[in-house]
Amino acid sequence: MPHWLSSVLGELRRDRLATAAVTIVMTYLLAALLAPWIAPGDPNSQDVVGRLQGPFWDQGGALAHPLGTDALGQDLLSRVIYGARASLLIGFLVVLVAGTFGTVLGVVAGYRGGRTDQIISRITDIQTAFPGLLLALTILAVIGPGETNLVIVFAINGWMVYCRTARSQTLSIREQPYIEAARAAGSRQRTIIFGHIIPNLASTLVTLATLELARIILAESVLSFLGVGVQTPSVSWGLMIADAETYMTTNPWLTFVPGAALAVLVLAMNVVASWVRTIADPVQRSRESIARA
Amino acid sequence: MLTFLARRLAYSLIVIGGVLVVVFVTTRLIGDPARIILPATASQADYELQRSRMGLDQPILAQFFVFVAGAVRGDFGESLWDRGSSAMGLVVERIPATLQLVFAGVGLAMAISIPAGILAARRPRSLLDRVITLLSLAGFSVPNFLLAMVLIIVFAVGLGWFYTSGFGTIRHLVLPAVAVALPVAGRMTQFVRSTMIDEFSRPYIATARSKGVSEPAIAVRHALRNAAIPILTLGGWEFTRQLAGYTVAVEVVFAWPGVGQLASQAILRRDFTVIQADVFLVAIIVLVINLIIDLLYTVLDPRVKMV
Amino acid sequence: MPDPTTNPGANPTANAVVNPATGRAPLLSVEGLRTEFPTRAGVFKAVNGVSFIIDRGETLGIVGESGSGKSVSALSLVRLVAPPGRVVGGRVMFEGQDLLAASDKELRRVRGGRIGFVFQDPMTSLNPLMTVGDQLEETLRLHLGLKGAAARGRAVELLKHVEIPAAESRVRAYPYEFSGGMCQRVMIAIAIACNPALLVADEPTTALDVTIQGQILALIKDLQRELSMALLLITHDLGVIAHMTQRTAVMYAGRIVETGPTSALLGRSLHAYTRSLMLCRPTASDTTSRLLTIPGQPPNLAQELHGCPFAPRCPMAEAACTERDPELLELAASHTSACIVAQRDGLSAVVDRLPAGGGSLAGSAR
Repeated sequence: MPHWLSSVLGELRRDRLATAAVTIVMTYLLAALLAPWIAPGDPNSQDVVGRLQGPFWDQGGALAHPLGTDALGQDLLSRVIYGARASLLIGFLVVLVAGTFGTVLGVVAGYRGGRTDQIISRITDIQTAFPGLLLALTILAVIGPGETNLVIVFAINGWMVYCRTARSQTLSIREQPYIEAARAAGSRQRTIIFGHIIPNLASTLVTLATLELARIILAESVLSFLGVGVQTPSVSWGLMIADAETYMTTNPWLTFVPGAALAVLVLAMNVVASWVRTIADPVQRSRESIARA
Repeated sequence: MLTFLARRLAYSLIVIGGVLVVVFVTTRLIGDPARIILPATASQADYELQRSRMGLDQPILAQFFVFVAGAVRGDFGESLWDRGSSAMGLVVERIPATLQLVFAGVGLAMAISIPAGILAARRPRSLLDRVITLLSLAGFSVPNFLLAMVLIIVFAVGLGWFYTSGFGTIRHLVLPAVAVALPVAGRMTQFVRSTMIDEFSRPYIATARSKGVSEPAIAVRHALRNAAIPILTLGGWEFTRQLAGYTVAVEVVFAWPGVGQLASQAILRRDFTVIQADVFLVAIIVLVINLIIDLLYTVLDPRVKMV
Repeated sequence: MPDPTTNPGANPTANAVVNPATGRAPLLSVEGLRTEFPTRAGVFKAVNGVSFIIDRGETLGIVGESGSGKSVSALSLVRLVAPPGRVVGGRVMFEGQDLLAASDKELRRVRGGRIGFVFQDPMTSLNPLMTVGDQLEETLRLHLGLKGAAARGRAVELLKHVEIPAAESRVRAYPYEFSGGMCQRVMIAIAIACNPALLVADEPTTALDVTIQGQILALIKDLQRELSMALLLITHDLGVIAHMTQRTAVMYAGRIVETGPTSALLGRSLHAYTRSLMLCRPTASDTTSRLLTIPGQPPNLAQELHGCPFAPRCPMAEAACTERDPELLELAASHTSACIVAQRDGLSAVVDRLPAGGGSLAGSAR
């Protein structure tokens, strides 16, 4: 086991809440990856006779549909598992695209300085001042809903935070003596950026990416709920909650199941992010963890 | 002071211009308003006629100037759905309800998060801190529309304390405001906590203690006063974020007659003029609020010299 | 001066610590003070059994490297150590009151009222968003009940007292409008606002320019005489100690290792650590670097220490030094030392092996 991994695992053991959170996130990841094999059935197979069944421990529930069925008789457990796929896939793609784009721009702005920095920073500022979600809704209304378009819209809306973070970190790293030494020794710009600056950004970016992943998953659920996100026959928790709205008063269970799936994942991710931040930031760590008593 | 204001205004104009460009590009170039207005059965001739009537056959730049000239006067034409009503008029009508919801929601969030954040920051890593931190994480891990539905199920349907939907009285306002507030309160509590931990560790706090100032007075008069600017900044940011789309889903669930609900309907109906007016007006309100916050800085911090 | 903790039987009536030199109770007596910080690596014993007394109007210097526990000791007197740090043992008697047993409310009356504090970095020690007048008036209101014009008038008076020019207008200024030296004058004004019996000055000049340092020290000395305050002066600078204090305690690794009259302590030190400190001190001609550097690192205070804590860095350490825990013993008149070698072989042994460097300190005027 590499050294950094064993030290991360060591840190993890100290914090039971973080351990639980990491386990939950891993479970969701596995469920999303293995959905076709572990889901009890086809998420879209309808059964008008067996509609609106309760969970198996409830009156009228059956083990065939452990979490019951929705208004079309579709198996809730299978839909929740497939829903994890859509959420995580969209989340990861957006973080990948927006994160790469924003980080590169931020590093370039921070490293080059001068006019480059000014232009990039202005664009970042201006776009941050945009009413993001409203514009996202507008763009989706025009180009149409669907997973690909969601990823595009979120990526366009989400790169600025990476750019700002990468820029400010690069600015401080650039002034470090060892970077100046590398520059003086004639290291090439690319070597300095990829060899020194990016590795130093890593822990901050991991924290940021985890937080953003959680945020995107929430945003995806909102847009799907509003009808401009994921569309049937794809499965999404937000879409499931939208479908459940009609039955909110008679069958609240239909809201709770996808709602809980969503909230638990996002909460676990936020716990992981705050834990990563504490172990990665020595200042925060000394300030907060000095008191173990 | 004047230069500062001038610069902020110029900056705001650039943002407004950017918003107009994006709105124009998406609704005019990518979308096709003429096609939307006409029934699916319309002939090619009808389509051409509709295009020229809407000015869509003009050169793009000319179209843009007409669009901007209208926007400056607040005129985006009539609603494509509700013929005869001005798009801007529909939006303006709905603004007060949304402002009420956002004020109540963000105000409630601040009322929760400031004391909670201070309590957590007093003893980092204590049991109380861990409980508050976990609750605040939970707060912003639940999307507000889900919260809205759970609140309806429990407090409106189950207990019957509040209304499930509608607008007007305080009993209508409570549940939507709580649904808006809790995720905001979660984020803000985390922020207040870390800002206050920073402040509590500063030397001037030790000085205040050495003067015999009591702990509550240290927290409020000294630490919170110094943390006020970042907290206010975040509060303002949350406020504008809510305005800029985050209340849409809550308004839909509670049938709240605000701009969010209007925007959601307009999007589903492809009512582009209303969408344009909505985005434009919200962008302007957001910028005005940001300007007010900038001005508040000078009141709160004597060191901020606006040059 | 016998140390109360090393001779627990010497004080049968625990409430009546008497200074044998004066025959009266001292203004402040500290016995076996212990302050700890729980950390991941273990319990960090920042202050480990510190005892000293200060008489009315007297000046005691505490000297040591950073991390020796001298600042924490001073803060512990009125339980000002920031959590998670906490005072876990000892007794602090001040004007007949046991401060470690006092309620929070009683303590707040002492802080800023009977004991004034001046800290190291004046620029950050004042609240940046309050005018200096408001910060002075806060103390006046809390302890003297002064409000409004009365408080403002007294604040102006105090600013004049610490020699701030144009006090009537500067009272409305914010700390950022002041230089470091001026901020420190304001801090001093706050500290003396209620005529305290004791002024605690924790490295009051360390963050200041050399030219300002002398002025601030002179101001403190004048005010002390004028208000007949006792002064607890904490510093790492032996020159300041020589200039300002009558008695000195040397701290190392959370303990006091040597105490004595300042002239005796600096002239004929009875502890290898004090000697080493003086060896490191720059000579009068070399005023550029004031940092004390002794080879090696102070011990990790989160671990259990055996023997003399200085032994690992001590040039004259012997087997005995690591075998038993040293005690503070009176080796000369009012001069105690915890140096095991000095206790056995006497002063000459230390002088022979470690000649004092850095020129003559005792009585050196700056």
